[in-house]
Order: sequence, then structure tokens, then C-alpha cells
Amino acid sequence: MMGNTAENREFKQAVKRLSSMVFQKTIIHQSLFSALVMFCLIQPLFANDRGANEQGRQLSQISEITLENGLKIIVKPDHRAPVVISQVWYKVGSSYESGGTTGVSHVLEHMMFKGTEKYPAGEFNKIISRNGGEDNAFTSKDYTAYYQKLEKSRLKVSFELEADRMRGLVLPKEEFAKEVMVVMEERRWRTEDKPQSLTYEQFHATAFDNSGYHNPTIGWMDDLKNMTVDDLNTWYQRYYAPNNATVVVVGDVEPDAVFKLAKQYFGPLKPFDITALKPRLEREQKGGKRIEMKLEAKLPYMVMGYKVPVINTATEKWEPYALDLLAGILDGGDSARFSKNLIRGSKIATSAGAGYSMNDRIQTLFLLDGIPVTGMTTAQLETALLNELEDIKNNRVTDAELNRVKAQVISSAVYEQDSMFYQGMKIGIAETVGIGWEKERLYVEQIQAVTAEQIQQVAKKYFVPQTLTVATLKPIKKQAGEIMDKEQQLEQVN
Amino acid sequence: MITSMTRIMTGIKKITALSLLTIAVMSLLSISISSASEVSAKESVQQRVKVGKITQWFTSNGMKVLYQQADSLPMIDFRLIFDAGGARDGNFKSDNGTVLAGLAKLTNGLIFEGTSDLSADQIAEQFASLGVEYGNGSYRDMAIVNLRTLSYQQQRDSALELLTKILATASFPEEALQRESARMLVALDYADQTPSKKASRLFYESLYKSHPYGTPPAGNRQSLKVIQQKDLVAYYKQFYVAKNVVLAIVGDLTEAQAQDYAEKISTALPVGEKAAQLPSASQNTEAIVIRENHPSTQTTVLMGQPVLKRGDEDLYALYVGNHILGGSGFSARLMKEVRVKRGLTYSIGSYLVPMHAQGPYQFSFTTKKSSTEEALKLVEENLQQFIEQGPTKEELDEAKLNITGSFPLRQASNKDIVENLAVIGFYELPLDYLDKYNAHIEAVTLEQIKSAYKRRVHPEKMVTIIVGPDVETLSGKAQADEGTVDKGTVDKGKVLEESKG
Repeated sequence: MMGNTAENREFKQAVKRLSSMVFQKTIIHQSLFSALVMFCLIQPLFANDRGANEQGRQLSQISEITLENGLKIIVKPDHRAPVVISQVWYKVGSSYESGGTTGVSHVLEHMMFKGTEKYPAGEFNKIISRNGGEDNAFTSKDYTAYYQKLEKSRLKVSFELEADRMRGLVLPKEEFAKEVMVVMEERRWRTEDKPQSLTYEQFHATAFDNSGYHNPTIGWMDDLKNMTVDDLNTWYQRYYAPNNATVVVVGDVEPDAVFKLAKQYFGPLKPFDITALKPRLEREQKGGKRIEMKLEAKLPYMVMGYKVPVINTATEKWEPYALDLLAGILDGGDSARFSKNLIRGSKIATSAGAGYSMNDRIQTLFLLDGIPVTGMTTAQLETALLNELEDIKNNRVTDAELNRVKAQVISSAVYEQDSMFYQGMKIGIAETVGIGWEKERLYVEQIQAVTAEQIQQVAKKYFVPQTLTVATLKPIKKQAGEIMDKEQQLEQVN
Repeated sequence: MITSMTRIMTGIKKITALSLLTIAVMSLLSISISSASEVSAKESVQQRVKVGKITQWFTSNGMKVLYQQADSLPMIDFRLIFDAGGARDGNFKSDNGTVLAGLAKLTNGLIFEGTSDLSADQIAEQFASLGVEYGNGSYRDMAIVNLRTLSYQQQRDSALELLTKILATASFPEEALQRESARMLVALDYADQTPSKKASRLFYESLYKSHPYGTPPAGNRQSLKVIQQKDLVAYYKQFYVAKNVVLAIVGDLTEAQAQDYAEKISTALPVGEKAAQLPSASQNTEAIVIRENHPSTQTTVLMGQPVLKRGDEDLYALYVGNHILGGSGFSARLMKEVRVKRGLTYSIGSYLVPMHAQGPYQFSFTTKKSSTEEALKLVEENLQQFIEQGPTKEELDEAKLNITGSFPLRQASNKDIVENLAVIGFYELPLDYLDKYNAHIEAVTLEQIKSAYKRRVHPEKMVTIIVGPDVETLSGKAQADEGTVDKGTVDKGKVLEESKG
């Protein structure tokens, strides 16, 4: 929001389609239905007349190398403008953290701008700014990433600075003392003062017991208050090494030149022994969970989710794609079921969403959320959402619906290539969570193969009461020391 | 989840790009300037002007079109920008005299809700089957309708045919009006529980009062209950006309193809008239401080005044000056002083928004309750010092390096390009605006910045909005003077105070 405008446009666009992340200086919202918008290279399926460019287009290829120190470099040329985006992805995020030091990945991300021996605090931003660059960083449950967007001839500026801070961070105590205050302000702004965010955070902490997805990416306030430089240093030493990182470059560049530059700057860095991450497999949920948040707010809200597999964990490889398509059937735009049935049709919902992120690292949730219209309750909305799921279980989706969603997937795959940032992001996430960019590219193909029967099957298999978690936000109003909820107020009025 | 709220807040239609659009438009506005005199549609009919990669012409019935080819990807963006934003709401009143705030947004939001022979469901399904992305957006100056399609003939022809039909025969069904006004009322509740939105609403109200920009585009609890279908139809008939819209087209199609589509859209619309110029917005004559209690842990502060109109001769000087003071993220003075040196905030910045009439110059930050006074004092001191002394030579040089060096980044995608064309067309900027942009930035001097700030920026007449916990207990400027508190206003328990000097 504040202090950055143009630099975050593209960024936000990408982010809106991806999962929850916390940024050094940007606002993001978790987007349901991250589903159908995935970068992918496709052959034109509509093989008829073209527009101005009748020769057809050679869509660019992806190249990669791995340096001797284990650092992987992935390059995707995009020659449309004299611009390059460089992203460094680390395999670490809040799902790697333990109780007591939650939020450490994100605080470390902030501290990555606070100086190395070569470039003291403030120099990083100054150098990028002087070079006409935009830069930022973001942390999610599964990754931490840093990026610069620059005129193409200045890629080396990015590589030099990123290589320098990959092993050379200083972590000054006095800088940490101020920056952790900034992060606490960020938490207040992002979560504490937003009733829906607070509900959403508590929802995840309830749905997951022992999985790394229990913790919020920003960290619990008490953990932030008690965080130390030592916590950060431990984290930095454990995860910031070339063999735990991926560099993704998209733009008006040639792969060989990028590889050469990468060898020059990142080549001399020493690899480290990376501590294997413990699985922390979420224990089996043996029954539905339900919480109610009573908060000073004006609007009720509800969010619910079922435990579902992701690409990384699915034993039936097609299941994540069927779930993804299902999310599109429910909430893929104005023609999808929630819009048609719940907002326009029965008019029970002011808003209703469905979301699923097949690119999460470990078992995730298939999410449904919404705000009831005035005069309806969250319980009524919940019933309406569950009825929509029942309908999917009992009746196969129509061919027309299925084809609509597939058409959107195909066109989205083209539209997404308009954003260099997003192209990089897709590669970076796939690499960092362990899916690999090659597999990512098969997305459209896999989606095309999903059948109506498979959608019905995943709905029956996973939308079961035992693995459901529901959270509702009940608005209350504080008056002269007492707490009343809205229904009580209504009763008094009536 | 939070998508849900984004949707409500950004309007009625649900397209994820909508809130982005706001940001995009805002950021473009902040660099825009105009010196072009208004081109008469009549004189320019069928006359094509090509400058750089941009071609501009008027259709046979007076619709302005800007086109740029971009054929690397098989897709096309169409964006229609109507001079039909919330600033026009004040022209419409109910029978009992209530200003129909929110009318522009409702009209824009119901565009895709039905035509004489298509239902909302049918429209949505047809677009989805074509793989088309479409959306709309309503702001103070503009109402936007946009569409992105694949460039294969079957898709683009069908998509444009449908869009043309919708624009020409939108029917604004009563059922949709009832539903969407109810959703906008819920959006008001959402704004009330969100400090930044609450603050922004109070800010515009206090800054612009009875000026058209003072009417809340999202409507209010009175207006949304009385707006009728006939009002939407009247608004649509007056403003959604060929002479009151700019069409920007970017993508994989030839100029001849673009002309063809533009001609079809414009001939489906009535010729109509261009909307009247908005009146000038004047600054307040004294400082206004408004405090609003909110059950939050942080205080949200918004401070500013109306300053810049498009075409203003001080724009480049003020733009570069603001870049240094608060507009450039971590390079900016405010960010350094309040966040980097002291850890008092996560986000702080200042923005210039040049609009048809004088848009706001706005300073904003959030901080925990106990550091509110300190942070506000720092902002005021830094602003005062900047007005008196201006930036240093080094700061100016660094700012120029950043702004001119980042120029290619702002036209790197089709989305960037269509936004640029939209702003150039809508605000009647010269077609070589982008080509000359860096030269304008390079030409800005220290003296120009200092002079522009002294003449144009007046902290002693600014509006300050403070939303947060126990705001009545704050000291300094943030403190409420006794005897000037008016608690009787509206339903929010607003504490309003106007302080002298």
C-alpha cells in the first residue's frame, strides 16, 4: 500500500493468484482459487486464423544449470521488453519453523536488507534504486524469495548483491532491535486489526495440529516479542546456502550469458550441509473441528476446509488436478456455481469463495469461505456451501461446465505470460516445494485430462465430516465494559 | 477468503484484477501530466495520428481510440474508459433530494448483469466459454470496462460481438440492482471495520466537502436505499456514449482490425456528449483534525490536501520532490526517518494523485497506539523541513537515476501498455508523453522543487485523519481541544474538531 506503487502492480497480480505470503513491504491477500491460473507453455489449441502475427510464435524455452556448489539457475527468455527479473528462492518458510520461534523466516527476510560486510545497512536498496530497479522480498509457509526487476543490462547488479548476502549477512543487533519492531507493526496491521485475518489465522491453527502449517507466516506476537539475533543467525546458517537456493531469471536475456554471469558471482560460494527437514506429517483428523471467534467487527464471516492431498503427496496423481478443476467449477468467475447459485441465485451470500493450492509443499486444505447477506447467518451460509458440495458428490458436473473451466485454463496459460514476474514465480515455487518446473509445465495437459467422474470421486473421497474444520467470526460490540453479540442486541431492540 | 472482501470492496463485479486496477490507475496518475489542448472530435474524425508506437484516431461518431500493436503473445486487451466516475453522482438526486452517491459504481457494476436478451448467467457463461477475462471498475474520475481475449479470430470476434452488445443494450435488471445495492451496503460495513478504509472515506469527505470528489463513490447508507433502476438508466444514457469514452486497444491485431472493432463498438453506442468539466477543488482555509475511535491496536493516520490537476505546470517538480520525500519506498525520507531509523511503522509514504480536478496530496502511515504522537510529529517536521529547504543535490540526482532508469519497467507488459494508453487518452496527454517523459524528469531543478512546494503545499491547511484506539487521549496535534468536539455526527461516533491555524 504505502510507499510503493508501480513496483508492486505486477507483483500483486502474481500474488493474488498464489498462496498466502508475507512481504517485506507489500500487502498481499491470500487468494482462493489460485487454482486455474498457472503458468504453462501450451501449444495453441485453437488452431485457426491468427491475428496480426500470422507466422506463429516460438514460445520461449526454459534452460537450467546447476553450479558445482549446488545452486540451480533457471532462465526463461522473454524478449518483449528490455527488462529482466531476477529472483532468488530459498527452501525455507514458516512451515519449517517450530514453536517459540515462529516468524523467524520472515524476520530474517527483513534483516536480509540490513547489511553485509561489503554493503552496510541501506546500501542494498540504494544501489538497486540508483540502477532504476524495483526490489522486494516475500515469505510464505514454503519459501522465502527475493527479487529485482531491472533494465536488462543491469542483471549483474542483482547477482552481485544477492551472492553477497547469500553467505555474508552481518545481522547487527541494533538493526535487529528496530526491525523486529517493524515486523510487530506489520503483524498488527496485517492480522491483529483485521477481524477476518485473525479468524483465518486461528482457523489454520485449529485445522493443523502438528503440521508446519499450524503456524502463521508472520509468527505469533509473543514469539516476535521474544525473538533474538541468535535465532536469526541459526536460521541463516542453516538455510542460506547455494545448495538450498534457486535463481530464476526471466526477461530479455540469453541463457548462456546468464549462466556465465551466475558462475562469476555465485560460483565461489561454499555449499553447506543442509539439515534434512523432518516430515511433521499431520496426524489423522478423527472428527470435525469448530471454533468461533468473537471480535469487535461489523461483519460475520466463515471459513471452512477439508484436508486434501497436493501434487507432492498425492498417491493418485490425477487427484490434485481434479480438485483444482473442482475449485474452478465452484468459484472460477461469474459463471461458476457460487456466483450463480449463492450470490445471484439464492442470494444467501454477499461473497463466497473456494480455493485449493496444489503447489503447497505438504498436505493442505480445500477451502470454502464467505460472508452471508444481511439477515442471514453464517450457519445458513455454511449449509448452503455444504449443499453445493453435496450436489457435486451426487450429480456429475455437466460437460458445459467442465469445458468452460478448461477453456479458462487454456486462455489463462496465455494471459499469464504477460507478466514476467509471474512466469518467474511459477518456476520458483515449483522448484522450491520440490515439484520441479518440468512437471509444472504439464499443468494444462493434466487439467485437460480430468473427467466429470474424477471430480465426483475426489468430492466423495475428501469432503467428509471427519476432516472438516470450520471457523466463524461473530461480531460483538463492546459497550461500557460488557460484551454483547449482535443477536443479543437485536433481541434487545426487538 | 480475503478475496471475498477484496471483491466487495472493489465493487460489485467480481474480477480479481479490479483492485489492481485501482492501484495501477493511481500509480499512473501520479506520473501523468498534460499539456495537450483538447482535440475536437469533429475535426479529427477519421484522422489518424501516429507517434512512436501509438496510433490515435476518432471513430465516425466521435469515439477516441488509442492503439498499439503487441504481437508476441496471442492475446488482445480492450479497455474502455468512460468519463463517468463517482464525481458525477452529485448530478443525480432522489425525489426527496438525497444525492445518489454510489450511482456511478452501481451503473458500472451492473453492466454485465443483463441485456435486453441475455441474462447475467448467459453473459457469464458465454465469456467463460471463450476464455475471456473481463471486468469493470469505478473511481472518482473514470468508469472502466475491460476485456482480454485470445487473438484467434473465433475468440476475438465472438468476444467483441458480445461486449458490443452488452455496452449498447445493458438492461440494469431490478433484481440485480436490489442485490448489488445490498452488497454495497455490506461493503460499507466492511469499510467501517477496516481502519484504512474508514480513514480514507473521512479524508475525502473532509478534503472535498461539497466538491464532486467529496461524494463517496461507494455510496452511503441513505443513497444506496433510494437509488432506482431509472436512475441507473439515466446515468447510463447520459455517460456511456461515444463522445464520452476512450478506447485503448493493445495486442495481437492489426490497425485495420482494431479500427473495425472500434467502429463496431462506437456505432452501437449513442453519439452523446462529453461530460462537463469538473469544478476546481480548493484547499481548506485552516487545518482540520478528525479523530475516530476504532477497536484496533494501531492508529491509522492520513494527512493531506488537494493539490494537483492534470496538466499542472508544477507536476514534474512536485512528482520528483515527492519521490524524495515519501514516494520511493526505502529511498524516501519518511520511510528512513519513521521506519528504518526508529522502527515505528511497517508502511509509510506520500502520494500525489493528479486528477481531472485537483487530486489529493496524501501522507499516510500506521503505528501502534503509543507511538502515534511521535510518528505524526516526525511526518510534520519532515514535511515542514522539506518545504523550507527542499531536497539535497545528491537526493535529486539519486531520484532522477531511479525514475529515468526504471522507465522501461513501466512498459514491460501488455497490461502496462494498455494502462498507459488509457491514461494518455483519458487525460488528453500528448501522444509523445512517454517519449518525452525522461527528459522532463531530467530537467527538474532543486529550485523548481523548492519553489513548487512553497507555493503549493500548505501543512497549516491540511486535513489530518486519525483513526485508532482511544484517540481522545492523544497529545500534540493529535490532541483534541476541549470545547470543539462534536460528537453528534452520523452513526460512527465521529469526533470532529476544527482547530485554528
